[in-house]
Amino acid sequence: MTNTIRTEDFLRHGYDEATNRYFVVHPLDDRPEEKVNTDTLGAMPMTASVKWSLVSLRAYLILMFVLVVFHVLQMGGLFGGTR
Amino acid sequence: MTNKILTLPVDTLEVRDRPVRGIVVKSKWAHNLLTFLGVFGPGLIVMVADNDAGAVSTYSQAGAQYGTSLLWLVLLLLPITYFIQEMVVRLGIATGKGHAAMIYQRFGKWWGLFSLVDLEIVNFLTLVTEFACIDLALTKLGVDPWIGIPVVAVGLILIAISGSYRRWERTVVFLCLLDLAWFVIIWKLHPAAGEVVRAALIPGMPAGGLTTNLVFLVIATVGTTIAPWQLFFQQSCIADKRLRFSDVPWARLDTFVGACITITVAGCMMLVGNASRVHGFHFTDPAQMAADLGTVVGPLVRNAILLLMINAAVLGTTAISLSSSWAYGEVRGWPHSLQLPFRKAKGFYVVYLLCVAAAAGIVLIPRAPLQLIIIGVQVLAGVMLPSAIIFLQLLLNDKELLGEYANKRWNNIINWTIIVFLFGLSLILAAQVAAPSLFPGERP
Repeated sequence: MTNTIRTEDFLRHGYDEATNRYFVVHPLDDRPEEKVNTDTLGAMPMTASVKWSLVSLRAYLILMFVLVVFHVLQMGGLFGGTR
Repeated sequence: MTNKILTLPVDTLEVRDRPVRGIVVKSKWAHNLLTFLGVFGPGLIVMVADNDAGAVSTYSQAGAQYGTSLLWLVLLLLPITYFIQEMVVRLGIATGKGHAAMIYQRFGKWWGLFSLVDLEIVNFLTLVTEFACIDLALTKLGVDPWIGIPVVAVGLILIAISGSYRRWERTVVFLCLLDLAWFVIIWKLHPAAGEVVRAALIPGMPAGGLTTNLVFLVIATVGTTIAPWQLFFQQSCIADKRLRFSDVPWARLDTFVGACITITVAGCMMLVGNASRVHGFHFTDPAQMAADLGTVVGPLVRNAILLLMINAAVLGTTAISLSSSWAYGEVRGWPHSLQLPFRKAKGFYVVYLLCVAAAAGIVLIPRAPLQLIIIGVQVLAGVMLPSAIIFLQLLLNDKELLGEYANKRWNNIINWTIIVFLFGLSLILAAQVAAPSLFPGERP
């Protein structure tokens, strides 16, 4: 049967019209596929407002981190609270 | 014709690695089924591993304290968790790279470093909670943690360092399917079906109103259902498995199936907590809850809950440790694939090994308030989540990067709603911690 299958069609489309057969390939057995080339893209252009939003987000995150740690210690009774 | 394995002679085509090996089938449905099974894995694993030890603790505590009244919240998290992970699927398949690598490339080293440090800190704390849960369960099963924990840690290391992605994936998918045993436990506990359906479909506020503890537990529930490590894990996993553009629909289905399983299992955990409440037990941790329920329902349920706690922790540990080592490997430019043998990806495997060993070692240090640490870490994951999603959201709107796979308008509306919801919750928590007298009800 291998002889009747048109190899190129099979690989490109997973289907051979002539024999009406389908070809299933596990991703790890397949040829590497061309992906978006991220190396040539460089850094994402960001406006000043987006940059400042991210900086504010970072500050907020640090604050929340401290707050949660404090709250957990408080619940653990470190500051005289109760669980 | 029977299906047959075929290695095609492809000398005329551009093949860089190896000949294409596949299976020839004659029907469309067999083609679809086998393609799905080939793609199946990352979505299921990321979702089910999310029901880790911390999740068992959080959901069962929510059930033990508030009964079935938070079931609707768990159901609400189904579309949220799916939409977030679906974005990761598109990003992973389109770029073939992990999340940490993408943040470094598109936002620069400064932001990349922050994201990586956030991830590694929360991941490590979460890993400690995984082993804390294993410690609790082993102790209740009568196994000395000094023997049991090192055995589990060695098993976790062996799963990953075999040099075969497929072997790791098959083992972990098998462990994921064991999670379905939560349904058997629920069947043995006989919850009131009508009440369960009503509580899941009709949102309601638990008796006692909006208290600090309720908000804390709600954020922990959100934080345990959608955690930052999931974004990094699934994208790296997809890149490692080399999923193709044609796999996008199947990877979405994989993620959706995983989301459905994880949410229904989470509901089961909450119902187990509710059963302990109904029988009048005071909740301290899930292992104690299992022991308490065992006195009423029998040793089968007791042992099943304890073993499922260990299984949940094992799944969480392998997934979280891998998300750390993939991310670190991507950023450092090290070889980072489960397909590689140890000698070819030493840095990647050493990070995995250190994560597992250090977390296991910390838990063997004399007792700390484990349940409080577990819930605290879930809350931390919850408050850090919006930041991680914002980076994801910016990447998914990067048309230069994703082209047709970039977010559509409706994706953005849903995602910003989720981000606002998560920020709202964290702001309420901040207000309650900073000024508890402004809020009625119980105090922490």
